[in-house]
Amino acid sequence: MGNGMPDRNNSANEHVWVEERLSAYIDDQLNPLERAQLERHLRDCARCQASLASLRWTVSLVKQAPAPALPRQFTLPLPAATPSTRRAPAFGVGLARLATVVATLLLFAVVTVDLLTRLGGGFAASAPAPAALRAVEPTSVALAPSSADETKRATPTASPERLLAVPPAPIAPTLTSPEVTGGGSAASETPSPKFATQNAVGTRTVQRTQPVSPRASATPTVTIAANAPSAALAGTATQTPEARATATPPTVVEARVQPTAAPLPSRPEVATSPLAVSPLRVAEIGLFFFMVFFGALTVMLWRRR
Amino acid sequence: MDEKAFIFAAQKGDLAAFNQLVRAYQTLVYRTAYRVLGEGASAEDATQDAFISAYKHIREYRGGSFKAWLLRIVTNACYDQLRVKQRRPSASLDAMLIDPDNPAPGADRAAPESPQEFAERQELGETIQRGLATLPPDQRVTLVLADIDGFSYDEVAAATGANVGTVKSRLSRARSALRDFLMTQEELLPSRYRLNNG
Repeated sequence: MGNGMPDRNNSANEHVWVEERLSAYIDDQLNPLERAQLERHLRDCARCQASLASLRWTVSLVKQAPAPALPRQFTLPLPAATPSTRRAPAFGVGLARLATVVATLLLFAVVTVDLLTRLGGGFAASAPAPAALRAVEPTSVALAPSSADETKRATPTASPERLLAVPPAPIAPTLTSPEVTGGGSAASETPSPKFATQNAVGTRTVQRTQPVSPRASATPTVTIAANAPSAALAGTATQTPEARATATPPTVVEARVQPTAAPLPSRPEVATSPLAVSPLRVAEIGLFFFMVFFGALTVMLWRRR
Repeated sequence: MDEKAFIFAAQKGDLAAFNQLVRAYQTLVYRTAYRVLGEGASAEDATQDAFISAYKHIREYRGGSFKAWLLRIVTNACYDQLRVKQRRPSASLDAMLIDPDNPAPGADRAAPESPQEFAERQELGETIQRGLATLPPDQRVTLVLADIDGFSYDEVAAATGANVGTVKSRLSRARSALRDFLMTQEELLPSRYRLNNG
């Protein structure tokens, strides 16, 4: 038989054939021919009818079975942050890096300029008249035999033998002690703080016994160290407007002996206070902090990526 | 936003869109896994594994019934769990937690269920679950998909990777076996679920 229907003469085989198709029959999955033959068999077979009923009962029970409760949500966990919000934008890192490089290059350039200025400008500032400096150097040594550490701790009470004079620029005449008289002994013998003009580095002592010549006033190293024990030296100093200069300018005590002395033309105080903040120094500091800031920012942004 | 849009977005890597699909199908997936595996812990593992696997392979989805594609993954996850359970036999069926708000798919409920009816239905569920546990995995999966989840033969065939003829055969044998089991347990069933009362 084309549809596989067993021979009706073989009742056992027919029951098996029907039993195998009852499930599909319930679900209406049999073709019309099979369905007709199965229904024909069911009309005459109480056993297969009971089997069909029990099968329907089973399916009905299964469909009535309660559904288990969902124990939890099964959504997949999202990342802590989406890549677009977690990662720093590429252009941000690039800008920070560019700013770091620019700041570094500028810092390098400024430091280079500063160094060149100090080297060249050091000569220029401390010795606008190099010949004068060279001429004074031996005297300076003689005047200040222990210049190195003594000048470091120089105070307004500095002893006369430590008098040093290295003003790169002429000091504006400020009369601090009208009673001081010439010879340089007053300033050196009674070194009083009130005679001292103290800057951040030290004090500078200047004893002026005679009007300074215009040339001397134009020269940064005009000041003279007057030393009481060495009158000759003091005399030499006062006679030489070119004055004496030492390599260590920290201690300067001004003692103007002539209140009526002609005022010297004022000059920038660049060299008179070595720690004075110059524009280059400001630029160096600023660029340094810029470089550090943008460098740290670059690293931070890079890590966030 | 419809299912196709969520699928398309998920294929582009949008996990939030995929989670929308998870929310839509997680009850079905877990219920299927629970019926096939017979206990909650394994069903949770299979469900989670199925969704993870679906997300990993969603780019391989080429259209058609997304539910059938997902159930194919679920049935594979269930088979994996069954293999694990065969290697490491665990405790027997745990008490099934019934969702009162989510009755059986075929149950028509015009009125709210009384506490007694709820308890009887839970008892029926446990009996059926024990009967399912007696079936071979292939027959169990087929019966769960067809009679509990209500899928057509074609969908069951797609989900199990078998042809429709095999599905018919497996389902017929599964129903017959479960019927035999239930008839042996009939006196333990609540009266309204017994065959003679039906």
